[in-house]
Amino acid sequence: MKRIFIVLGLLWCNGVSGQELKDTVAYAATLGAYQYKFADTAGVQHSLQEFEGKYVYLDIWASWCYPCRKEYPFLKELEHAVDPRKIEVVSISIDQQEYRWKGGMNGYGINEGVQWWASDTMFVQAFRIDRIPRFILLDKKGKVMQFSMTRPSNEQTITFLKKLK
Amino acid sequence: MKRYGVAILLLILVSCTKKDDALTELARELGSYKYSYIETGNAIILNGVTSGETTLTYRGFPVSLTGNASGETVVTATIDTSLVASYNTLYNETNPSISATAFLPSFNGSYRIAAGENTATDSLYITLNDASKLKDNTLYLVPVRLTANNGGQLSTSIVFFKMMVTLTAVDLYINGGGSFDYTYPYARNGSQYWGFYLSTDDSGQPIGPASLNISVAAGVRYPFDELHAYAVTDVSDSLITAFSAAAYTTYEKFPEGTYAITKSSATVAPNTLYSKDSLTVSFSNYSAFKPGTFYLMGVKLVTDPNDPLSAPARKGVTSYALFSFYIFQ
Repeated sequence: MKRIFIVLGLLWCNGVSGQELKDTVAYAATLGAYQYKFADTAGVQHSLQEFEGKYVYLDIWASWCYPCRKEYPFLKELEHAVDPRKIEVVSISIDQQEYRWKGGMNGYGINEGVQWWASDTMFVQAFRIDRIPRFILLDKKGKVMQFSMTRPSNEQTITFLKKLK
Repeated sequence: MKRYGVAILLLILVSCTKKDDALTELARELGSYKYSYIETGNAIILNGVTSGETTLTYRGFPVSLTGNASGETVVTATIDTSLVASYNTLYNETNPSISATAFLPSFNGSYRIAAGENTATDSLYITLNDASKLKDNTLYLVPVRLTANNGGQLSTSIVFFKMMVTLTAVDLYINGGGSFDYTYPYARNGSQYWGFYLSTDDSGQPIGPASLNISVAAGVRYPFDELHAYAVTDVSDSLITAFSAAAYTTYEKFPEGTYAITKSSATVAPNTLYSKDSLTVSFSNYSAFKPGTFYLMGVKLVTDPNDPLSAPARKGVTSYALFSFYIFQ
């Protein structure tokens, strides 16, 4: 129950209201994150199921998104601040082309943490990624806990993540 | 005296205040730039001409003032193409330049905010308008500048959208066709293939088809007009050699005078996938075929450069219908 209020509160802060809020919460509850495949820089396929038992803070970005790149230093700070045994921070690029993703990582010095690439659009469609940066919090079983979470640059984010049991 | 001193000091301060260059001003204006709005758009391209520009996905941006409007306020959105270069400089990107008409703001770029409200009912997004100068599978930065009348102060005066544009090329391929006896076309190495093993009648004359229909399909629906398919026969050495190699069998080309295209064009109606009529290839002079020999001929789709509705053949072997004859000895 408490979790629902937190979700509602954070969505409200993000400018979502009324019916849209109800629809989004109901929709997010149906989503599972483990069915989607992502590639690492070596081309190896991964699933978020690898982090089952941990919370996952997803950072959805693209090389062409300046506001996303601006969050990266804060994301690094966040990653060092949270307990890695409890929380995994995963960056997922939605670049259309792999070379753009890798070029962006090299060009902008984005080289820490788990960096994966969403090679098809299934994940983007299911999670309604229509603006970025977008941050999503998954629970220990890969279900959506927060469909649109606060940014790493928001101090409340680290505080909230540290309180997770 | 003191008053003069203050005045001189102020004068010096004012005259020494350097006006920021346009890029610095822009950077300051973009201090609250928080999101990249993602859109997708598509257009159909036939013989280099684009049409059917469609905005597939978008997320509306709320057009709002910093406070409630004192009277009805109209916010105007315009695509500012000059900001692409500034953005590239500011953020170290290489977004391609765009024409003023490639994209348009939603709702004709006009957003009304009622008195006492602070957000417009209609939201801002961009639509794909003219893809003629755009490239396939390319991400475009579309900067939108907002201005308000009535002295309204906008929450955000510049919004950046990123639209992924794809161009779907219209093409045609051979889809199938008629049968004779128990021989039906099937896909072989990508082409539609009819393989006839023909027996002879009491007089020793091979029994084969007098003609066969060939149907054509479009790779994508073209809503705006019909598409025209054209075909020619092909018994070139390159075709015969390539097929022989793929089939591990030696084929000869059909003898002259044994084949002809008797209907060399077909039409795909607007917004449909399959041709409403067929191409027809006719066969005659069966006595020219030697028993015990494999023969091959092809029908391939071509473009008529004089017909703007002549859709190009799909690249590769799917634009071929292949016919082989083998007469039992």
